[in-house]
Amino acid sequence: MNQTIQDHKPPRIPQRFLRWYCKPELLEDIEGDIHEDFNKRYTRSGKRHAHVYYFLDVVRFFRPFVIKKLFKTQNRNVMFKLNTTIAFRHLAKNKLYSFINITGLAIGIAACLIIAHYVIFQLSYDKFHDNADRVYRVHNQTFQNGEDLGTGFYSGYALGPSLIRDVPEIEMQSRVHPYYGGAVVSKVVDSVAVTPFREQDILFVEPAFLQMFTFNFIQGNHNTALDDPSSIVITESTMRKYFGNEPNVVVGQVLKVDGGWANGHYRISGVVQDFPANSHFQFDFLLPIKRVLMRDQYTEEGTDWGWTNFYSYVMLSPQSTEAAAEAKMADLMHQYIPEQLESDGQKQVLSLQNVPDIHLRSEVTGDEFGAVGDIKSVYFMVIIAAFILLIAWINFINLSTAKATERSLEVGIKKSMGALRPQLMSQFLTESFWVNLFAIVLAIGLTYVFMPILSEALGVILEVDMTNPLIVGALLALILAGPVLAGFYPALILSSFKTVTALKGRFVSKKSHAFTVRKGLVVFQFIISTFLIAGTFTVSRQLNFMQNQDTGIDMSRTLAIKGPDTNVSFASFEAFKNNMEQVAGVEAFSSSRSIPGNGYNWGTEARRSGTDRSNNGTVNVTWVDATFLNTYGIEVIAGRDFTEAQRQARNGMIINEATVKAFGLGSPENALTEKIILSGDTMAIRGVVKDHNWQSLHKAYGPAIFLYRFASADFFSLGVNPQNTDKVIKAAEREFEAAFPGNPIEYYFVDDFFNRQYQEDKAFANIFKAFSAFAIFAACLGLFGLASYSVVQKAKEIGIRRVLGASGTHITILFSKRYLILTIIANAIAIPITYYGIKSWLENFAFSIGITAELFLVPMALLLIIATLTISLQTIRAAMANPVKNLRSE
Amino acid sequence: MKGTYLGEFQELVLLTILVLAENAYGVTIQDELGSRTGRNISRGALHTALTRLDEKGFITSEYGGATAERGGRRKRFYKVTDSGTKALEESKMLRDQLWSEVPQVSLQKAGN
Repeated sequence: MNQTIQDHKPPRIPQRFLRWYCKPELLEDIEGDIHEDFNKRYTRSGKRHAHVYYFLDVVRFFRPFVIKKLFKTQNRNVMFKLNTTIAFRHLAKNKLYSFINITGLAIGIAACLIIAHYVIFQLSYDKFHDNADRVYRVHNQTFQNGEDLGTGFYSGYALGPSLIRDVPEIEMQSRVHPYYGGAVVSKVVDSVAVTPFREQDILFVEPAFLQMFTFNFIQGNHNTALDDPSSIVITESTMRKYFGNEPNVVVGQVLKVDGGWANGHYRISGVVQDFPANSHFQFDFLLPIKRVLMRDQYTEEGTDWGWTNFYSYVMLSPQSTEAAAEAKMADLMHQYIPEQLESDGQKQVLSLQNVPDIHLRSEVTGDEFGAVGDIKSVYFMVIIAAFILLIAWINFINLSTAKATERSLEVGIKKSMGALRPQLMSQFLTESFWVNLFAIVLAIGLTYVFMPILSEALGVILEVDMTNPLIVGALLALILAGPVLAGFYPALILSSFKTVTALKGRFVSKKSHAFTVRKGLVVFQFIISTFLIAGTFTVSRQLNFMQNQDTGIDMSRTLAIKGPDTNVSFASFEAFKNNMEQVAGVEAFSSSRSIPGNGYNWGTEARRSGTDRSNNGTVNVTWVDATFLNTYGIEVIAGRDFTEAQRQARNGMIINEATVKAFGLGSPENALTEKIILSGDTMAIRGVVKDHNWQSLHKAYGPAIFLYRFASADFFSLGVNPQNTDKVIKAAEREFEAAFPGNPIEYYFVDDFFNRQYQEDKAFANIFKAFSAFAIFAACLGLFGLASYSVVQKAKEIGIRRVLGASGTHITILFSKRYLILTIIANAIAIPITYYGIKSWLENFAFSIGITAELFLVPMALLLIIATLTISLQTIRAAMANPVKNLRSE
Repeated sequence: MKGTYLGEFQELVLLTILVLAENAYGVTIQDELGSRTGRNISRGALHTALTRLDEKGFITSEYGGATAERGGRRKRFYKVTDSGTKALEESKMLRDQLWSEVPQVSLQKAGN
């Protein structure tokens, strides 16, 4: 049999690996065994098999008794110890230098760690679901006459079931119907409703919802919790809210939900753990979707695709792909409602988006459900982190090379004693290693201190988690790469001195490349600093602008009260209204279905009367009463306001200027003679109002229409005389309770409410501020260090100048000048970069401050001042010192 | 006693070397052990055992001639030393003694 076995060549890489690690005395033996087996396998099962097993054999031999001492020279350990001692002595001798170096690095690393936490959190969204990789949300992209109108996710209730029917790849689906407008939920004890709370996060879902997403049931049955149409699932925190901190079993208890969509009593069938913060949707209550489908609104003929109040999640079967499912569903709507889509000139393309992608890469172009992150802001944070780390490392490099003169003697002596360059380099790298290590330890401490503050600024509560594999990896990378990246250049410079010149002392000529590199690095730091200061400045200016801009709506004197959800009869409304109008300080009272900053009530289609359906455009509708425009000071530029004397239909509609433009109605006056077909109803135009910011200033003016409604229970708005604010609020609380018992009152000044839309912008501004402060502080530390060394070096020169009559001011200017020139150069380079950055950021806003010279000049001036102060601290001290002191010693 | 303690696997290896007599080297020992016990013996484990046995002085080894099947490398043939044989005997004696003292009753399997 042996004759049939031929000798083959084993794979090279494993073989070399084996030879590298294996003790020489064992090598022949082991390699021979493996090789023999290899040949046997080759003959028996082929090349591939043999190669794989050769590799496995080699890996399996990587055991302690086989591995030779890879770091065998004892000498290195001794040198490391010695170098460590020298490094410690050196650090202890130059306390200021060590402090600046270590603190600067630590701040940089801490900023990186904090940002890493943030990024990890952002990337972790919705990954906690067991089936996250196959759960998708259904999106639909709308084209009108070939024009892309954007992607949304709302659809009619017929979509979900037809997906299951027509797309075999889809294993499960659940439609979701939010409880629009919220509801008042109360606990029912002995048939009496108690502890009412106003709730927003209520979702109607299907039983499959509980299977697709991962819920941890604390109480109740996972499989049947939503089968009964009168069941309700609540979260743990909701349970505590209603039943106290130490509740018994609450399954079986009854909750009363009042809000208009599906009022009634629900029996708790399950309690689930709250979703973690990194979920793209949150909820407090889950109701069976059957309940909302029972409403007339959804049972009438022809409503199946019409009421787009639903959205759908689907779960694909494990072996199918997103592309396959999408191919089958893309034109699904055209199979069900071809005529309607055709006459609208519309094309609807359905697609899927994997749930974990929704948070950062949402395909939806309009409003998302809940706050959504942006992959760009994650990249942005990563870039900032990299910048800050770079600044910190540059500090280290600059300070180390600046000290070159001081250490030339040390290097010279070592060289003359026979030290080789690699040995000197290893000495400086060891120093770098220790500085980096100290910095990392300090940085971890700083992370714990700053994380709570910064996580508040970021708008997400982040816990420091030093066990996260990514964080551990990053720290290891920093420990390994940091000393080399930051220490290599200084080590190269310091070890490059020529022995004799080094011993002579004066050797660093002004033209030496070390100095130019150093200058370049300082310039680079200041470019980053300018960019960040200008960014901070722009962001806060824009934020300020948005909060104080004239929106065309009088908000500061308007108090809005969220209407009651229960016990609303016209009589109680009337009573509340009349009583409030009597209160001193109430100048106007209005009821409406929405208020500025709360969005529109209804997005629908409209066209000018006399044109066909393909001219349909989207408009947003809000229902208001006859005093609304007056209460909010919205200016009517043509026609008249609504009047109570007429019925709804006769009042027609009031449109804004954008609507006039969008439907080609000519001038505002001319528009009064036109009619608009709104969702099928032809209506007269009663008035035209000036364009105003109903939504945040991110959004441009769009076609918006007010319709008349005599009384609404959604929002009450009071025009308040500023002197009587407190009294009005007290009266409102009293009257609200009297008119709508059982409804908790919720009120706010409309400007505050409106500005809540800028929460994310504020968070962004805070981040920017925090990290530019980091960056500037680190850059200044570096500058401070450099200046102080240059002053020490030139102590004699200063002394001589002083003796010869130079004034302190003169010397200060002389020594500050060169650094100021550097900052000016940096500013010049930073301008175009900053310009581009600011411009692309401001494009997010329909209304922005615009780019002015001020946005650059103020930050530059600020930076110059900071830099001058930093340098002056050193130079003034030197200039004021007694020159004799510096000149005496030689 | 740690130094001369004979583990179960090491005992098997020693016995296998004895069985293979003149032809005991890495691959044959592994094959023999594998086929007799039906266990999949890893090469690393075997070499660990061989190294330990060598350290304890239970086996010696010498190189044979180079062969083509090993890519020109020599085989290391193992032999059991006297102290190895002695350790095996001791181990066997201990077992025999224990077996002989096991009461018959406890050897009857349940259900018989």
